[in-house]
Amino acid sequence: MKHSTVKQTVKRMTRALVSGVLASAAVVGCAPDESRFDTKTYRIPYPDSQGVYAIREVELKTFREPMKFRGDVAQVYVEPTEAAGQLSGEEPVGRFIQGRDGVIVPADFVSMQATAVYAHMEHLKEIDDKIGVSSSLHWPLKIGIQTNVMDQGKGVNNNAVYDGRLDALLIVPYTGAGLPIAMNAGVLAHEHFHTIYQALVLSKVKDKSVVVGKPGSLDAVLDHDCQWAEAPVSPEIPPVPEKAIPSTGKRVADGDEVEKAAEAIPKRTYNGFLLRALNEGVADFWGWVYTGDYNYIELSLPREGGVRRLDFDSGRLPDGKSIRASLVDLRREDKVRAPDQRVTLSYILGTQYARFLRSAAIEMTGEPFPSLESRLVAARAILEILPSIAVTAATEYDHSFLSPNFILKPLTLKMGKLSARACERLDKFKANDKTFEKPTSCPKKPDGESPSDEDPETEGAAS
Amino acid sequence: MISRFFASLTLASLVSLVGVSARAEMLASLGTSVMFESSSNGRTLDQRQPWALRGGYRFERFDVYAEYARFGNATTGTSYVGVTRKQEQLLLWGRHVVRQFRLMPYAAVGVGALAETIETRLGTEERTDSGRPEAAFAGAVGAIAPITQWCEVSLEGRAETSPAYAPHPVFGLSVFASAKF
Repeated sequence: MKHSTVKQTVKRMTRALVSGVLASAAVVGCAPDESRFDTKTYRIPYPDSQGVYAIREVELKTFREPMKFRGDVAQVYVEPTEAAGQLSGEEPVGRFIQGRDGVIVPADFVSMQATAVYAHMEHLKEIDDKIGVSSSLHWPLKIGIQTNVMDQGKGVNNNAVYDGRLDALLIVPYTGAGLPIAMNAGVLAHEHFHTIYQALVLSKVKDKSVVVGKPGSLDAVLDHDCQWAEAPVSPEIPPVPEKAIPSTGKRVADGDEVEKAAEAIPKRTYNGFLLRALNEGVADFWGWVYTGDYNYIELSLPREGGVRRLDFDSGRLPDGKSIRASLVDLRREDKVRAPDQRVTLSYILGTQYARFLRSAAIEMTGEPFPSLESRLVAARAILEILPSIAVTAATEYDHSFLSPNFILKPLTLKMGKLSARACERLDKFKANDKTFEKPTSCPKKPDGESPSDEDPETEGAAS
Repeated sequence: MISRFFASLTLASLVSLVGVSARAEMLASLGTSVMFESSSNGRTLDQRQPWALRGGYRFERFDVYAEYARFGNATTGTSYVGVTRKQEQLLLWGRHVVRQFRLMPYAAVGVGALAETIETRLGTEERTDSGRPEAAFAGAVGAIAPITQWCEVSLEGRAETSPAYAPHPVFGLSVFASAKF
């Protein structure tokens, strides 16, 4: 082959190569997201029906733009910000490969978290469709991961926050040694329930011109973030505060002083507290409905798991007076505990609600370890009573103190005829404030006293 | 691994055949790069530092060479859950060099493929997935500085695109030390 001919050939080849490269690069650079993968199956950490986590294959039918963490059900942002009252952020960049077996594998931790979050949201939506609440929610849901949340100048870790104002779920970085919160099915279901509660209950109460709370305001409890890593250790409502020593240094007669301050608590502050407790309690229950695991929190937050596990006895609900007393802080000008303290206390009461609901669901289904379908029957029953709770709360919000029993009447009506065991459990759970009448199907007390003979107190119309 | 070896061998053979026929100079290079790719948040950039080997031929006004690059393992996650990403790529470059100057500027385009291997860890469970090779395209501009009759160094800015990087190309700087035969 002549030297000059070879050179010319190589020259032509190079020109062709350059043109081809530029054209192909343009096509590749503009290639739509969906065309990269020819499957919808992802390999991620995921639980089985027994709640055991492993690296599994999960089909995601609606995850249309995985490289932007976006689909029909949710849009996941990474390190989001807030703009014009909405969750916002730059378009995220997902990294995935398609393995030789065709399954799509996340190529970094953020992509893995985003995919896991999306997977659970897709399956939660399927549940929402089954129980008839989908149409009340706004899809796609907005979710932030690796969210930078500051609290008193420090970054928050190991937490998940539902922001009712943004109607968004915010997951902060996880630094623990357990299952990251973004992959914890129960925690995600818990947070998802807040979206439901916001739509079915809180939006109705807020429509009654309740001031949307800013941190530090009395109504902040309604809007405040859901917290995971700050649950109190004690499962009991704390006793009446010890003798308070105000800044004057003068000791006061604490019993009378506390009672006086308790009755002076604004009704909306107290009722907001109850609504928050119910929100957190049913959300914990929702996590159990989704996973069947009564201790899903422990997978990510071992310290909190011991406090909020749902297999313990619910104990008896405190009555309204006790609750109001526990909200008193004589050291403060308004004599009411700070909003963040009230939120923490609401979790204690919420855990009682959650444990009771789980035991009620087990009674309802007749199964000691109910299947998902059975758990959904119970979930649907809870869902159906939320509108009536919303009406009651909206009506009484500024006018009277709701009883902690306010959920029991609509719930027992839904449950229908109760077994003797369920009646007994109900009797042990209800607050002793005479606002709740046991269903007539429950056996009467041995002395023949009929439930209708009990005089309801003036407190709370919702029993 | 075996198919990659044979693909490299075939490519090298083709380049050698052309080079020998044209009585061109052989080139061998070793280098490293600093590459910047978009972070997951879409706002910042992550840095990666592959090392690379090149082998090819120098003709009168252009060079043709194959480049194999290997990226260091990038591990992200927690002590319980993690992902390790490994990447290799093979590009065939054509480079036009302006040799009139002592410091020789050039422009280059490359085409090839990259493949990633992902190791996923959950507690004590580990799984390795090898990705399907994906097309990769690159462009570079730089300059070559001869050191001796047989050695030179080059510095270039480069951009690469691939479905693995879409929608954002990857940018970087590369430095190579080359020997001519």
